Order: sequence, then structure tokens, then C-alpha cells
Amino acid sequence: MSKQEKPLLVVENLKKNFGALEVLKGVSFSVNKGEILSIIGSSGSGKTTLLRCLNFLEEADEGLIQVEDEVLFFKDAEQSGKENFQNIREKRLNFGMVFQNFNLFPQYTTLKNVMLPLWLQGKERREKKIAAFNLEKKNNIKNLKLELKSLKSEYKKNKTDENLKAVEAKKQEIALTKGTKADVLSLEEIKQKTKEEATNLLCQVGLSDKLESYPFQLSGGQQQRVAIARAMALRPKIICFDEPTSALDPELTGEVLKVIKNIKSKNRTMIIVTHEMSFAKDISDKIIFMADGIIEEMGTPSEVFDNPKSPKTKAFLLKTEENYICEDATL
Amino acid sequence: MFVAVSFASVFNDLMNGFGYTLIIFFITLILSVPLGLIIMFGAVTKFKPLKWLTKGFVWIIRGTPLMLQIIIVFYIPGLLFNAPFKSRLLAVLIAFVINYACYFSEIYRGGLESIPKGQYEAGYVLGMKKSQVFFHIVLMQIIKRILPPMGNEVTTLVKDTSLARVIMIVELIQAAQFQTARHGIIWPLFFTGIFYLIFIGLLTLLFGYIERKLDYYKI
Ligand SMILES: Nc1ncnc2c1ncn2[C@@H]1O[C@H](COP(=O)(O)OP(=O)(O)OP(=O)(O)O)[C@@H](O)[C@H]1O
Ligand SMILES: [Mg+2]
Repeated sequence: MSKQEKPLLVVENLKKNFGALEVLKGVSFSVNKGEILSIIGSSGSGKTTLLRCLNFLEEADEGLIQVEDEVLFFKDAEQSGKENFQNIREKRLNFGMVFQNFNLFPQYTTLKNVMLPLWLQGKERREKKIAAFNLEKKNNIKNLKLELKSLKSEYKKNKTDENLKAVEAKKQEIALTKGTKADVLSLEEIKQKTKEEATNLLCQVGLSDKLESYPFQLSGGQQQRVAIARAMALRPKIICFDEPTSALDPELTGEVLKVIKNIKSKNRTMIIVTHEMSFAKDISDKIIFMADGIIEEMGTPSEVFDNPKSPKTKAFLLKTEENYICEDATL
Repeated sequence: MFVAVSFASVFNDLMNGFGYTLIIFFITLILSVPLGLIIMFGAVTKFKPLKWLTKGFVWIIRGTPLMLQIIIVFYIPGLLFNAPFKSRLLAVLIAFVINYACYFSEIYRGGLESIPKGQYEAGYVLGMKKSQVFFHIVLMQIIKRILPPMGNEVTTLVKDTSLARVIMIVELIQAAQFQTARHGIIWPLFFTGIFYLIFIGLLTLLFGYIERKLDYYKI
């Protein structure tokens, strides 16, 4: 038998309540690296809530979220409190998120919107590196000073030229150590690199001619494409899309779906909540149909779309098809 | 001859009064703008007791006349602690700073609460800290939102400085009224109006300029 591929993301028995309302009632699934998982289902079935739990915008009540071998979240029925909800900031970086209504930062240009997370991260990493270096330096100097002290007392006891030389050498070594600096990029260099990376990402979504535009100057489709570029910036392992086209006019939907198709690659894993059935069928490796907080049906696109087993899935697909026909009829 | 001497001395007195008006205006502005921010944080904190305490305080300050507050601040140390204010101006400044900080805090709060939740969430999912989200994303949007109401409030402050006379600070209007009473002339009062008009005119231009500067984006 060929070696079983290990999933990139494992979600087990995820539960989430809002007060008395059970929104997720125990959701389990997995996604392999490079796969596209699409989640469909009627309004209120918990799709957004699921994505928000993955991004730690909501704290699940129970369940497991694991990426590669790292358990990001685990809580079983007995546990309570926030003890498993720490270091969220780092955990979040496993996931990117594209929101229904874009949520671009209005005061920044397209380019700056994508640069900002890169720039903040670059700066923070640099500071951490410097801090670590300085700590080590401080310890080194402390040790060297101790050595100097013993050399000095040695020299006091025994005033030989050799001992004097050793003292002088140690002093020099201390001075040298004091003069060393962490080997990091300058802020200017980081900014430059960040800019290149952001420009590159915006090219990938076809917006290289809009780098200096502000969000209010862009169409909805263009704004969403910026949001996609921004979500890719920090290279998350998994990018989540929450109905990326449902706030758009129908004629703008196509360009966004095309961009999502274009960024598909064997290294990019995506979870897409969508009402665009033909798109989901076309692009996905796996489909989840959610109903009332559970996974009603899961499988390959042809399994779910062409041979649905659950009556609920059948009814849902029939309904969306009807809508589709209605829309067609009005044209 | 008589008229010329009178004009110079009257003008001099008016300028002295205007000096007090300026001092009250600028010191109040400089101190209450940051103090308002602190009060706002008190009003939006999740720590309920502090939140209600702050809200109650803001309600009292905004619900009573500034004139009353000036008088109360002026008399409290003397009558309750037997340590009267050495400087009337200090009493006025304390009352003004507290009063305006409360008004500003409400404006800030309105600005803060007008920022959609999605802006914060977009920042968080990009790995930002709360402070980074505040300073890099939210702050500029708040500033843009609150600029017009801040402009109104600052204009009101210019005119409110005249309340200082209630504890005998000879600010611009008080100075003019003394002249009118002493010499039986009306023009110092009109002259006073011109001072206010010019001052407020300049502030209006300034705020208009800043608003135009921030016009490059829309929220
Ligand atoms: N913060 C919240 N507080 C209370 N109830 C909430 C909250 N967020 C979501 N809900 C409720 O949870 C249920 C599921 O919501 P969710 O947004 O996950 O559904 P959805 O599948 O994304 O629906 P749609 O297709 O309309 O986007 C809904 O009934 C909603 O009202
Ligand atoms: Mg939703």
C-alpha cells in the first residue's frame, strides 16, 4: 500500500455555542496540503463560524484544531476557561482570511495594504533578533569581565609580563565584543524587500496598475483581489475565504473567482465558503455540505454534486439550481 | 488728544484680557485632548466598576454648567480644606480641563465605536497585536471621523473662555466691560467681538485645512 498522506489540517469534533444557540455541533474534517476544500450550505448553518474558529476570531467551546503536527487548539468537554487559547497571535498565522466585505484598510493604498503586515512582521523579527543578540552579548561580556578579574588578581600576585599581556588581551577582547552588532537588515532594507514582495503579490492578482490607488477608488472585485493578495502576504499554510464574491455585483464575481483559480497551486491549501456551485464543483478537491451545525455530507465534487446521498443535500442543491434557472430566465 | 490716549490705554487693557483668553484656551486644549483619551479608555474598558464610575463622572460634568463647575472648583479647597487657591487662573484651568476632557472623551468614544469590527479582525488575522491594530489601522480612521466635531468643540472653547470672569478673571469680555463702564464708551465691546471673530476664523481655516489634508481617503 502507498504511504497514507498526512493531512495538513485536522479538525475534530469542533463545537461552538452562542449562548443557548448551538452553531457548531461537532464538526470533523481534514484537508491535505495543496487541496481546495469548499464548504456549501444554507444560511445560518455555521460556515462563517467555522472559519472564524479556525482563525481564532471566535474561541470554540470544544474540539481539536491541528495543523501539521502542532495542536493549535484542544479542549474537551470537562475543560473550561481560556488556558488553551494562548499565543493566539502566532497560531493565527497558520491561517489567512479573506472576508466577505474585504475589510481593506481605507487610509492605505493598495500597495500599503499588502505591505503593512509584512512590514510589521519584518520589523518585529528584526527587533527580536537584536534583543536575542544583545542578551547574549551582555552575558558574554559578563563572563569576560569575570575572566578579566581573575587575570588581574593573577597579575597582582605575580607581576610577570606574560600576565600583563593576558590582562591587556582580555581587555581588548571585551572592547571588541562591546563593539559587535547584530547581523540584521536595516529598516530601509526591510521596507524595500517588503515593497517588492507586496508588488509581486499584487501582480499575481492582476493589480500591478493599481498599486497607488486607495480602496475607495477600486471596484468591489478589485478590492477583493487586494484582500486576497494581503491574505497571501504572510504565507499562511491555509487561506480561508468566506463567501468572497457574495458582496459583489454579478459581473465582478468572475474576476475574483478567476484569481482564486490562478493562485491555486500544489503548495497552496484553501478552504472556500461559497454559494457559487459551479465554481466549487470545478475548483475543489473536496466538498463539505453543512446543515444546522453539522457536516451533512462530505466527498469529492462529483460525489456531492452528482450523487448526493443525504436528502438535505439533495434539497439544497435542487433549490440552488432552481434559483439559477430563475436568474437565467430573467436575463 | 484725549481720545488718542484713551484708545491706547483701552486697547492695552483689552490685550491684557485677550492674554488671559489665550492662556485659558491653549492650556485647556493642550491638557484636555490627552486627558480626554484617558477618560475615554475608562469609559470603554471591560472592567465594569471603572466603566460606570467614568460614565457617571462624564454624565455629571456634561450635565451641569461649566460656570457652576468653575465656581465649585474655586471654592472647594478654601471652604472644605481651608487651603484657598492662590491663583484664580489655576482654578479656572482645572475646571476647564476637566470639563473639556469629558466632552472630548465622548467625541473620541463615538469615533472609536464607529470603526467597524471587521477592521480589527482584518488586523488580527494578519498577526497584529492589539496595539498595532490601534496605531496602524484604527487611529487614523478615528482622527478623520472626529475632526468635524472636534472643530465645533474647539470653537465653543474659544467662546467659553469668557466664563472665567465668574471668579473675577479679567479676560477679554470682562476687560471690555470695565472700559465701557469706566469711560462710558461702547466700542470696546464691539472690538471684543472682532477679536473672537478673527480667532475663530483662523481656527476654522485650520480645521478646514486638516480635513482637506485627510481627504485623500474615504472611510
Ligand atoms: N456573534 C454571534 N452571536 C450570536 N449568534 C451568532 C453570532 N455569530 C453567528 N451567530 C449565529 O450563528 C448561526 C450561524 O451563523 P454563521 O454566520 O456561521 O452562518 P453561515 O453558515 O455563515 O450563514 P451565511 O450563509 O448566511 O453566511 C446563525 O444563526 C447566527 O445568527
Ligand atoms: Mg456566513
